[in-house]
Amino acid sequence: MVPEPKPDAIRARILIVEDEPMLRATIAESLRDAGFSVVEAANADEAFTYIEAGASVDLVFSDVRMPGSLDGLALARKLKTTNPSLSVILTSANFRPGNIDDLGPFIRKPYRLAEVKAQVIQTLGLGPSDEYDE
Amino acid sequence: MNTTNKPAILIVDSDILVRHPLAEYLRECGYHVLEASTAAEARTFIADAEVSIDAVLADVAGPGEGGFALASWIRANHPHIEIALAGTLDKAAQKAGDLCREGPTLTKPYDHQFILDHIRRLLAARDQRRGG
Repeated sequence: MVPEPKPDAIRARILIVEDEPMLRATIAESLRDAGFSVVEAANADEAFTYIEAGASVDLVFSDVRMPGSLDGLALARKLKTTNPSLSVILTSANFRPGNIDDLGPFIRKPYRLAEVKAQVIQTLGLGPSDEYDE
Repeated sequence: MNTTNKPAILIVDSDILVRHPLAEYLRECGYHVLEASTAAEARTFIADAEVSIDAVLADVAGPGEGGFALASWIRANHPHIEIALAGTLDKAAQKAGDLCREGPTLTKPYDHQFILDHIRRLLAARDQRRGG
């Protein structure tokens, strides 16, 4: 069977920044199933490269601790400098960092997919999350 | 992870500006697409029992071990997975062709339609082998 293109169903564009590939793919798939356009970055440097290239992103969902020249906090602060209205959600297996109130919500790992989806919808002001059920 | 019956394609490319548009194109064409930034990430996907990958499209010049070593590892350990290697140099492309079941291999920058056709041919040939 040859797959055929499906109709576009794109809403907001979300950039996921996560260095654990299975987790990244799982959360990306969940958000795509909910109708979002999702971009996957393996680290903060990739994410910055993507945005610096001029791509439009509505929300960044980023792990805090990642290898590379930037961690999630540095990425968020850098992006907020040039685009203060950009929505950011940070996540980590560690406790919430004390200095991120100006950046956006924080979700502690391990998280449920529904928890992330609900926070994305709330942060973007898109309405009740049950409208985005899979 | 792939809860659909769509064929699963794993793209291995360290350049997000190359990997993401190609992944989106293949998703629009009906494939389940996984994205790996490195060969190490690709191995994580391939080794996971919950992931069933039909074909791997890898850049030969990735960081770390690169596409050649990844292709050799897949050939030795997961021979049911189809492989397509892509490179920017003719010599690299020729060597990549030796590792792939169907040559010639792909050259970068990617022509998305060409890659789609290539993947379709790979999977069709595999299905024919299995049927035969």
